[in-house]
Amino acid sequence: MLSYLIRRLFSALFVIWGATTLVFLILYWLPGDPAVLVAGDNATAESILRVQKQLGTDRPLAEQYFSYISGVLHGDLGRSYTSKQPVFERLWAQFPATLSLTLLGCSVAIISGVLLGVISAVNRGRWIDQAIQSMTLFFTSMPSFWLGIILILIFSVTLQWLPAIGNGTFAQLILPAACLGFVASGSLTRMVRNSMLDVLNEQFVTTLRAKGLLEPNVLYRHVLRNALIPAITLLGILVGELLSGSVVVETLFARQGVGRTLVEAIGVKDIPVVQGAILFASIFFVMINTLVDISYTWIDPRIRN
Amino acid sequence: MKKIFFTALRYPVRASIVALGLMAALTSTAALAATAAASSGAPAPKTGGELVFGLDGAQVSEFILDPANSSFAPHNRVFRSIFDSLVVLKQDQTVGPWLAESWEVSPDRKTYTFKLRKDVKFHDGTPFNAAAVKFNLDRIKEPKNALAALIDLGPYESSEAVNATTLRIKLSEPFEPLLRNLSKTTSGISSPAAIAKYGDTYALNPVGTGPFKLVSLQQGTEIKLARNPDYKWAPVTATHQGPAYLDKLTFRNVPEESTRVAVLQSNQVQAIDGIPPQNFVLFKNDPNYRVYLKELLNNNYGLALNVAKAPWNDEDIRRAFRASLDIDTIVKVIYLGSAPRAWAQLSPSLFGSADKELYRSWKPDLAQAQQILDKKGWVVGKDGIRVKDGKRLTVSFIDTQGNREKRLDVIQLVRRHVAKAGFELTIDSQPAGAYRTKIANLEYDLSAGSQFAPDPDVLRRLFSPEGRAKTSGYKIDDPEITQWLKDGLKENDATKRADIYKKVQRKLVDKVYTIPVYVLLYAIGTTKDVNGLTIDAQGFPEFQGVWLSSRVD
Amino acid sequence: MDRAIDIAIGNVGVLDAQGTLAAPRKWTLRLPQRPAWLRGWASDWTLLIPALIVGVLVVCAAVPDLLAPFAPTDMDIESILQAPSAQHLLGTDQFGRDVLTLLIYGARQSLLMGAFAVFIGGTLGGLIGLASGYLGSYVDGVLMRAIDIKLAVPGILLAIVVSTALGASLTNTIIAVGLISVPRYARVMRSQVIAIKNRPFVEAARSIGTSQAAILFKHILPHCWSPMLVMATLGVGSSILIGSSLSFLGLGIIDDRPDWGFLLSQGRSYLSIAWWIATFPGLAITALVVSVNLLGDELRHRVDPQKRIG
Repeated sequence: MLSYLIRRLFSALFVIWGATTLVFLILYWLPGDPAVLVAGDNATAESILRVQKQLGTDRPLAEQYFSYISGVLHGDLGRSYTSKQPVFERLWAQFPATLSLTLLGCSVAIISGVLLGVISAVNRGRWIDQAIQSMTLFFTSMPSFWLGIILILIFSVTLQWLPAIGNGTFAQLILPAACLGFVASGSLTRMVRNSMLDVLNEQFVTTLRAKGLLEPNVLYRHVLRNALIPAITLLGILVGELLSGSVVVETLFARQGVGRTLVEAIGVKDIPVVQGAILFASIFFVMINTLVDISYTWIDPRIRN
Repeated sequence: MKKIFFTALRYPVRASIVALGLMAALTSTAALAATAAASSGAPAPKTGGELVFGLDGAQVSEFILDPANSSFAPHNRVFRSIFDSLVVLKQDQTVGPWLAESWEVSPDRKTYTFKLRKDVKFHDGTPFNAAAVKFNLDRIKEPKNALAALIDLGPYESSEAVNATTLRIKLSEPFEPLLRNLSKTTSGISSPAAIAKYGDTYALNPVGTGPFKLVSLQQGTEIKLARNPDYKWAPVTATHQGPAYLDKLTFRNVPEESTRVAVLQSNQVQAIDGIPPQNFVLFKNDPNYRVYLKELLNNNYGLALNVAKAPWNDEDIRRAFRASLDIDTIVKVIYLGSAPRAWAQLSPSLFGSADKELYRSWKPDLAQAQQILDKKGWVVGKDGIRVKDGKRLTVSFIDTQGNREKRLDVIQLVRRHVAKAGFELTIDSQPAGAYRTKIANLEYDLSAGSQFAPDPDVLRRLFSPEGRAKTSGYKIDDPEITQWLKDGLKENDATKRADIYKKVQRKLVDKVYTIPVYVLLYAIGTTKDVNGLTIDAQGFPEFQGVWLSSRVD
Repeated sequence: MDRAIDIAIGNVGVLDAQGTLAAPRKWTLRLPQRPAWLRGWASDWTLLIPALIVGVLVVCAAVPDLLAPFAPTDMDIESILQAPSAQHLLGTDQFGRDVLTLLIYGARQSLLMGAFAVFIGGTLGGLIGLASGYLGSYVDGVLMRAIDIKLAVPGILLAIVVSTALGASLTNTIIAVGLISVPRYARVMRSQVIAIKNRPFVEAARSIGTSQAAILFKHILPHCWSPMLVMATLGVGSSILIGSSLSFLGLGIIDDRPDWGFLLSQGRSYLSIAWWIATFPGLAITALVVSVNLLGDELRHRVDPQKRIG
């Protein structure tokens, strides 16, 4: 077990290191000089040179890279080129909004996905199964901004039940989380349905039934448990993607978020901020995936060996 | 009161209403006039309440609230509430007193002596005085700080706090734009103590003398302000003296226009700006809303032809390009009457604008365009695009910021028009960083943009190689224009000075260096409970006189 | 992440507890009995209708000029934002362009985007997954860590980088979207290969001296088509949607013949006054996604060796 954990930790660190290094190289290669932007509209050639020196972007690639890495190892993510704010502070301010949206969005996806998937599998072939299947394909074919606008028009403008913008309160979280969750739940529903049907066909289920276990018991204690595994795996990947990939939903619902910060920082080549956001995202991604792996063993004892 | 909204389910009804509205807007010029709140017999203003304002902050998630360091118009719309300037630009385009009660200019036009108000203090309690202003100006002047407002100070040399209320500014040479520049939102005076305290992060902790002070800031999404109870130094132009009526003023950055409209319709915010033209007409005709339109003093949005390289280094080709454009139609179709067409680079109300003089100075003429291109040896190819020596007549338009203010829609129509003459226009959308780098490296043929300014000297910053940044889309290097723009800095006779800038604008059009497109009217929509909103002479919103009528439920 | 239980992101791809991708049961929509004249070649309504839809869209993509009532560049400024009518069946947009015409011309960009992004993602991802799953040990470790790294870097960054560095064009967007989807295909392929390569029949083939290549291509690959097809059919839709999101963020391609994703994105601000501009492109995407998925289900049903045996 210990050696397993050490191996996990090592591979997690490798992924985090790899992601930040990859992004560092990509940004270095990306056209555009951040100094031109930072120096502002009144910049002269020498003021641009001065800014380059100040930012350290005039140094060779290797030197920049090692100074960045040593900064990170000392807990210093640097300062934003544009606002001069420490990167950690900047991202930390955005983080609660991102985290809450990601978690609630995933919950919506998981709950509706599992629920609909189970209903669909249990009623396989009936109209309700077909209705759910059609609905999930419909959601799958819908861009998130489109669903978001429709949600706003219905729940915020017409019914006036929920706020459409901002972050802070729980009410402000509902529409964006629903938007993210529903778009993602389509795939989950299909997955849960399929794996449930497969488990239902397996021998142990027949055995359980033969032993006289009541149907709901079989279904929810044994079948669903197995069917949850792919759902949880999906969660692991989804979290990583949502963390930095929900820029569209953040923009539409006028929310804070690491995604928006990241996209804007890429736009102006604010390298420390981009690097910091990737570091945040990759740490979170690795953490969630480790939890996912551990939860497999909890859900399905067979995997433990 | 339950408002009746058009719902998502009633499209057909809406559609027909809109169709009618749009036609009305297209045929009426009335839409251009500022629609002020009816004030006859209005009830007395009330103190209290919170106004939430949905700001069109574009795809920028980082507030930079240091007035000296932001040329981004949406953030400048917040500055007027937090900061005051030394002087104010009046509606008649002359400069009036504000934090400075009076001023004198030496005969050689190189020394300005300001008499400051003595009853003013910053939000942090520190006194506003000559030393504070000197600190602000010196900070801008320091090249190391690389502040955007640097260019506003021109040949500023130094200043001296003669006593607490007397400030003497010394210039190395005459600089006529100075007073107007000091009236800009970007010239708001910051508290020196706050700048010292916050250092690099002052832009997130702004402290001024304005009618509202910062309470909290949620980076990128929300700026919460509260009334400054000590405020009694509103400018002469203000409709209301004394502290603001509102208890609280909150700006929320809502970049997506469909969301912005939706939150106003559902009263989650009481005012928004950047109303899309198609919704403007709807709000205008709805008694539950008020709309305000006011010209932003501006170097108009126009097409900047990169004259530094082919094909635009040839005046005839530029003329052919322009002749193929029907700007009237483009502006009408895209802005539906919410923006007039521009004839000169400077917006019509701006001092020195040649908008009247250049009115109808050229007209679309496709035949002429084709004739010119034929003569120049550009032959129409198979797909309608002209070719010469195996090279296609392709021009690359570079842009950033997406379809903000429908500007990419404008370009899409431009592309259609010029295609008829045989030009192929490609659109190159770039993030801000790459955009500027490509412009500095001349990797584009066409760009476009506008620049807000209260003084015609803005032309020098764009059209003179000495005055402009490398990252400006204009690459014009015309010695005559450069000289005129230099002359304009020193001419202190208003009429003569205006004439100089009119000459410049005429030459810009005559030589087809630029093609002005439309005049940006800043549009605000509010619910009908919002009273007393004003837009200053430069086109920025003022909230000091805003009050909320009690809701009749 | 060390597990055989890997799956795809976002728009599905699904593995069950054993690491194989479960084949969903075939859908049966209860529609009237097919007419006798069709019985020869169309097995089912559920196959016929999507086949027809995809067929029509392919024809649109191939020869739009024969079908479209107008030219995509026609801008009738006298009739902007017109509701659907006899003259403009699906209405007009803010430039006075005919929405039906735009849809017909947009089919080519959208189908190309859907098909080629899937092709790039599927081929690259498939090869990586195959190598990783079949060779195992160090190759597997290195390749899967690389895939993890790719997953930890948000796709949007890649898309922006490609469009900045190479310029926004259909080809570049396809490349970007294709690259973004590589990890899902790689993970699905890998877990499928791992599940198959230890099955008795593969062992049997190995024991009678079948060459590596033959085992790979004759015994393992045929069992991998099914899950890859699920991924691919869903990928067609999600590729178009990623393109649409890029347009939303102002990084899309602005072409004379806009793709459906772009139309949907530009029509969003007119939703409250001219619903047809965005709704019809949205419906077109939905029709394509649903059809391709139904066809995919059917196709998978036919290529799956287990199904054939059974």
